[in-house]
Amino acid sequence: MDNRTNPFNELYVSETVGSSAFVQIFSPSILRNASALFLPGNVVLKGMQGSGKSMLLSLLKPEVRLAYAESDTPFPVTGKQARFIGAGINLTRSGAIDFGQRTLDPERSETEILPVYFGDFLNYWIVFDILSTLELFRDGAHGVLAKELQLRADPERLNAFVGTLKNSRCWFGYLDDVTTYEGFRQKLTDRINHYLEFLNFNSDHLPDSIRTTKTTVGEPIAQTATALVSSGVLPEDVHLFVRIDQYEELIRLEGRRKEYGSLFREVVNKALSLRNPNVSYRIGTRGYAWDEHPRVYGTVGNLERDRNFKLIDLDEMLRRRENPKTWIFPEFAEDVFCKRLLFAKYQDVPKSAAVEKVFGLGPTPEDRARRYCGKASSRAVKLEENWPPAWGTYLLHIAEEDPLSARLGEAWARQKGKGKIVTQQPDGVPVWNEYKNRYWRKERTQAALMQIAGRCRQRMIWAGADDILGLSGGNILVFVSLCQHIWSAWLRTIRGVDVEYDNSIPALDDTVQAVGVHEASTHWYNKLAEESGGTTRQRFVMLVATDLEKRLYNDDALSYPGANGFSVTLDELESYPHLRDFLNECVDYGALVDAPHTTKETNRRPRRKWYLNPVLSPYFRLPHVRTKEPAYRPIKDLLAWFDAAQRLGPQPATEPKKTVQDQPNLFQEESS
Amino acid sequence: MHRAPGGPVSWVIGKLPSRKWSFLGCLGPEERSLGLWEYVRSSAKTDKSLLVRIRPGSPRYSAEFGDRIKLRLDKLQQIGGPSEGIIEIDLFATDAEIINVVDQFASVCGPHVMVDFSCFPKRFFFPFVKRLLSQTKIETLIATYTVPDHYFSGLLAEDHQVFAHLPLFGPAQFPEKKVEMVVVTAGFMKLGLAELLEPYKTGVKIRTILPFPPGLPAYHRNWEFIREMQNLPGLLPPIRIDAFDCADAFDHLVQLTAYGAKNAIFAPFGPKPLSLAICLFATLAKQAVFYTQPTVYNPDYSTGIKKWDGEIGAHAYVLRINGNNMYAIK
Amino acid sequence: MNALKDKMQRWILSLPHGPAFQTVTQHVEHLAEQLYCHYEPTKGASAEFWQRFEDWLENGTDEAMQQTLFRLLPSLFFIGPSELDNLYRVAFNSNISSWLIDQLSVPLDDPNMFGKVNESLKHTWFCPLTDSMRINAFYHLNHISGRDHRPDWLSLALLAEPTKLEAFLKDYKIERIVLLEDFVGSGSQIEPAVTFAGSLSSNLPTLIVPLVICPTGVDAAKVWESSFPNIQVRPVLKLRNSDFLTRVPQTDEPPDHCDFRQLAIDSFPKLLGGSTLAEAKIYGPFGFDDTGGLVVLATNCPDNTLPLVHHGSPTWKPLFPRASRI
Repeated sequence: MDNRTNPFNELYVSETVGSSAFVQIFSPSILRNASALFLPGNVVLKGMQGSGKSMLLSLLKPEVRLAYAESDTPFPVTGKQARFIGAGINLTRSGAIDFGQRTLDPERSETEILPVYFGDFLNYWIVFDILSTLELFRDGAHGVLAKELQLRADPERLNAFVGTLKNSRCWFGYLDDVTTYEGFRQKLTDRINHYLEFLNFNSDHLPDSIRTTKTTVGEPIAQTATALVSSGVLPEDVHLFVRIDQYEELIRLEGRRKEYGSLFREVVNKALSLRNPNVSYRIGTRGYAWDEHPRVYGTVGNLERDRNFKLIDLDEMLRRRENPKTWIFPEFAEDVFCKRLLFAKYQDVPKSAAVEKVFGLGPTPEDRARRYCGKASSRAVKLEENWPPAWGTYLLHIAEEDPLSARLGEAWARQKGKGKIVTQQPDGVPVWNEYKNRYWRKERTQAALMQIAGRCRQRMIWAGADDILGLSGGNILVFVSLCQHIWSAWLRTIRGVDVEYDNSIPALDDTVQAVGVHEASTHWYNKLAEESGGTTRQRFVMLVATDLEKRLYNDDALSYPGANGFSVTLDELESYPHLRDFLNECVDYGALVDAPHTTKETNRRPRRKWYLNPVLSPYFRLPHVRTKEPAYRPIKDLLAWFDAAQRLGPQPATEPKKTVQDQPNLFQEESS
Repeated sequence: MHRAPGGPVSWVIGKLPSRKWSFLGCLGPEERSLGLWEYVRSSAKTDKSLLVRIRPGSPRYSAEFGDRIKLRLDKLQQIGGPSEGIIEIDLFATDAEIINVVDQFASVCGPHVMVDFSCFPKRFFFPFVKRLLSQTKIETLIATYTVPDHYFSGLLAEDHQVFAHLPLFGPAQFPEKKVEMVVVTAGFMKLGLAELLEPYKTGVKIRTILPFPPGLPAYHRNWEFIREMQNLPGLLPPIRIDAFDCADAFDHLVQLTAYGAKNAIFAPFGPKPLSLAICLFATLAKQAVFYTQPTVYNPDYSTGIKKWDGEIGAHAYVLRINGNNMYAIK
Repeated sequence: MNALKDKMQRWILSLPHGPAFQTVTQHVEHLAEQLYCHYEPTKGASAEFWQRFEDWLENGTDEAMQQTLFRLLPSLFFIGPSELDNLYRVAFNSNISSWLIDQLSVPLDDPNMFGKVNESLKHTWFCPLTDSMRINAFYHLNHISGRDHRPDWLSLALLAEPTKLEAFLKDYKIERIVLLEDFVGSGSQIEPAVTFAGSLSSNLPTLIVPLVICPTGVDAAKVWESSFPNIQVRPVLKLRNSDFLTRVPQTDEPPDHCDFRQLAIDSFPKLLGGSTLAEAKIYGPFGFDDTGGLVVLATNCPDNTLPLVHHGSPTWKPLFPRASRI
C-alpha cells in the first residue's frame, strides 16, 4: 500500500508560531524584498492574507525567535538586522477595542476621554510584553539568545532599570511606590487587570489611581526602551520592534463604536509619530485598509510616508508584471514547494525547477482543445446558416485535427472586414494561423478554449507549472492550497494500489491537476463568505463573474477576448464612495485584483480595472490570463451589481412558508 | 447519575410546581420567538415579564423584517403583552446598553425566572444569563429554547463582523494563561472560524463537538462543517453530544479543561443549547468566549414551532433551584 | 490509475454535473475516513471500503447507472460507532432519567431528587429487546451496575416461562423494566417481545427505548401504548419520512429521490441475479416492508434499507454488506 502523505495538508504551517515545522518550512526568499522590516523606523506591511505578511511579522515574535534558537536552523535574518527584540499587542484579543463599550466618566464626553484610556491601556500592555520578551530570551534556549544579543537581565540590572524608569514623568507618579522589578511587573499587571475588571462589568469604577495617572500613547514605551539601554539591560544597537495586530479591524467596528474606531487608529498613529531612536512600530494591514493620509490624534497633522513610516506592499511586490523576468513570486513558490516536499520526506527533490518537474509544462492549447472535444470535434465550431456549405466543411475538416484552429477560423470569419473568407477558403496555412497574425491568435486563444470547453460540455483544464503559478496570483497561501488539492486528487488515484513503498516525487497527470484545481477554486470561492463582511462580496463576485462569463462565452467573433475583467473611469467611481470602498474591500479580501488601466478611449479619462482573483477563475469558467482590453463598463453596471449583491441572498418571501429542509438538489440542470 | 435537570418545558414546569414565572424573551421575526411566551401566558403562571426587540444591524431586508414583526405584534395582541412592555435595542448596542436591559428586568422580576434564549443572538443571551446568575434574589432560573419546525435551507446569516469576545466574556485575567485548546461546536456556517483560529495553530488542540442527535439534515451539514476544518493542525476526532443536552455538553467541557484548569477558547457555532453550556462554563471558569457576529440575519431563519405530542416543542434547562446552582465545576 | 477512477475524474471535469460530482467525491472521501471505515461486518478478512465502493459502482450496467449509484451515497445516513455510543448515553440521560423521575413522582426541586433516582436504578432492570442491542455497552457507558442477567426479551418471549420470570422479578425486587433496541423499523420484529412484556401479570411499568425508529415504528408504538397501559415508548432518534426512499413518491421528498427510485427498480433484476426473493432472502427493491430505508448502522445494515446497498449476490456487490440473522 502506498503510504505517501500530502505535504501541503497543513496550509498554515508556514504561519504558525513556535513550531519546529515553521522553522523548517519558512522560506527566506521573500526577505530580501522586505529588509526594511528589520531596520529601525516604523513600517507598515501591506498585503492580503497569504501574501506572506503574517509569516514575515512572525519573525518579529519572541516565541519564533526562540524556536529558531532551539533548533538547528539558523534564524533567517542575520547580522545587524537580527539585533532586535519584539513586543506587541493584539487589539482584539487583548480587549483594547472594548473601550467604548461602557461609559468611563459620565461627566466627560466619550470621544474626549476614550482615546486617552485606550492609549494608556496600549502603553501598559506593551511595556509588560517587553518585559516578557526579555525574560523569555534570558530563560529560554539555555540563554543562547540573551548571549547572542548581549542582553543583561540579571536582577540587579533590572532593578536599576526600574529605578531609572519610574522617575520618568510619563507615569504621572503611578510607579512612585515601586522599588523592584517584581514590583514593577506587578504594578503593570494590576493596572491591566483593573481595566479588564471594569470592561467586563466585574467592577463599577476604575480606581482613582488609574484615572489620575493616564499616560500619553507611546511615551512609556519609548521611556522603557531608553531606560533598558541606559541601564545596560539592552545594548544600544538592539532595537525594539512593537507590533500592533488587528489595526485594520478598527474600521470595522459597528454601531456607536464606529466613530471610536477612527479615534483609536489616530491614537496608534500618534505612537508612530513619536520617532524614538530605540522603538519602531510594525503594523500589518490589508492594502486599502491603510489610510493614505493617516491622521494623528490630538493634532491636525498626518503621518507622512517615508518620514514617519515606510510602506512595504507585498501584494504589489509579488504581482506578475508585464516583464515576467521581474516576477519574484515563482522563486518564492519554488522554495516553499521544495521545503514542503523535503519536510514530508519525499526523495529526489530537485534543487531547482521542482514545480515544473511535478506539474510539467501542461498541455498545449491545441491539445486542450482536442481533449475538450474528444471524439466530437465538430462541437468546437458553430456554423452560421448563411455560410456557404464549403466553408462549413472546411472548418469541420480542420476541427478533426485542430479544433482550436477551427474555432479561431470561425471567429475570423465573423470579424468585421474579414468575412470574405467564407467564400475564399485558403489553400495552405489558414490566414489566422499565419505568422503576421500571431498576436491576433495569441490574444484570442484563452477565450476560444473557454468557448470550446463550454460547447463540448467540459470544464476547462488548468495544468502545468505556468497555470499553477498563474492561478496563485502571487499569493503563497493560494499556491499551497492549489498544491494541497492537486495532491489530494493524486493520492485518490493511487489509493488502494499495491505498490512498493516509494517516496519519489511524482509527475502529476494533467487530468489529476485539473480536478485538484477545480476543487481548490471551489474552496476559495466558499472561503469568500467566511471573511468579515464576506457574504456580500461573494455574491458580488458571483454576479460579476456570471455576467462576464456569459458575454465572453457568447462573443462568437472573439471581438473582446480580454473581457474577463472590467474597467471604469476613476471620476465616475469617486462619485460613489460606497462602491469605491466596497471594490477596495473586494481587493483586500482576495475576491478581485485591480490595477490602473491605460485607456484606449480618446477622452483619456483615467480608469481602473478589476479581474477576478485568478484562483476563482476555474469556478466561474473564465480564463485567468489577462489579454488585451478588459470590458469598458459604465458605472451603472457596477452599481447594479452592488445593489443586487446586497439584496440577493436567501430571497425571503413576504409571508413565511415552509422550505424544503434538505439541501437543494446538487444535480439540477443549470439554467443556461 | 447526577446532572443538571432539563427536559421538555411542559415537563420541567410541571415538576416545579407552585411558581409564578417572570419571563424575559425576545420579540423577533421568527414564529417561535413568541412560542414560550404564549405557553407561559396560557398557563396563567406569569409574574413580571419583558420582551426585547432587537433592531437589525443592517437596512437589508428591512421590509421583510417589518412584515414579520407586524405579524408577531398582531399575535402578541392576542396573547397579551408583557407587564414591563417591549424594550428596543440595536443589534450592535454597547455592552453597557445590553447590561442595562437585563438589569432593568432583574430589578423588577420575581424569585422565579424564565429566560427564553430561542431568538436572542449570543451577544445578548450570554450576558443575560451571566447577569441573571449573579442575582441572588433569583431562586429559580430556567433557560428555555424552542425548536422550530424548519430552518431555512440556505444562508441563515451573513456578513459577519471580525471576531470579538462576547459581552462580559472578555479576557478576565492578565497576563492570560496559555491557551491549551480551542473548543468549537459544529454548526451550519463557519463564519470567521479561520480567523478566530489564526493564532492557535500550534501547540493547541482543537476539539470539535458534533451535535448528534439530531439526524438528517443537520447531521450532514455538521459533518460538512468539520470536513472544512480537517486539515487544521491539532484537530482531534469530534465528540458527539446531543444538540439539546446542555448538561452533557457542560460536563464534557469540565472534563476537557480539567475542571477549568486548562485555558480554552470557545467558538460556539453550533446549536444554542450547546452554546448555553459554553456560556455557563465560561461564566464559572472565567474564560473568554469569542464569536463572529453576523450583521444580517435571514428574516426567515426558521419557520413554525415543533410540537411534541401536542405540546410546544421547547426544552427547558434548569440553572438554579431554591437558590442552588445546578451547574458547577467540581 | 484504474478505469473507474479515470471515469470519475471525467465526471468531475464534465458539465453540467461536474461541480456536483466534485462535492459528492469530497463528501464521500471525508465520511469514508470518519465513519464508513468503522462498518463492523467488514472488519476482518473483508474488502476495505474503497474497494467495495469501486465494486459497487461497477454494478451499474452503464455509466448513467454508475453515476446514479455514486449520487446516492450522500443520501445514506450512516450512524457510526461514536454516534451509537452517544445514542446509548442520550437514552439514559434524557429518555430514561425523565421517565424515572416521572415514575418516582419526584419534583425537580426535591433536594434528594438524584439520590432517589440513583436508588431507583437498583430496582430497574435494563434489558435489550433483541440481541442486536449492545446492552453491555449501554451499561458501561452509563456506569450502571448491579444486574447480572440481561437477557434479550425476544428470546424470553419464546423460551421463558412467565411464572418463572415473575418470580425472578419479585425475588430481585425489580420495580420497573427498561427495554432497549438499537433499530426499530415497523416494529414487527420486536412485537412478540413487547406483547410478552405487556402481558406479564406483575404489570410493572415498562419503558421501551428504541435508539433509532422509523415512522412506521412510531405508529406501532402508539398501538402498544394504548394496548398495554403499563408500557411507554420513548425513542431517541426518530427518522423522518424524507429519510426514506419509498416506492410511492412522497410530497416534499428530495428531488433526487425520483432518480434513486428508478435506480432501485432498474437494478433489482441484476441484484437478484436470477434468484427468487425467497432464495435471496430479501424483500424487494425497497427492503423489508417496502420501507425504503437509507440508514446504515456501524453494527449492521437493517433489512429495511435498500438491498442495493447491502445485498450481495454473484451479480451484485454490496457497499455495506449486511450480516443477516437467518
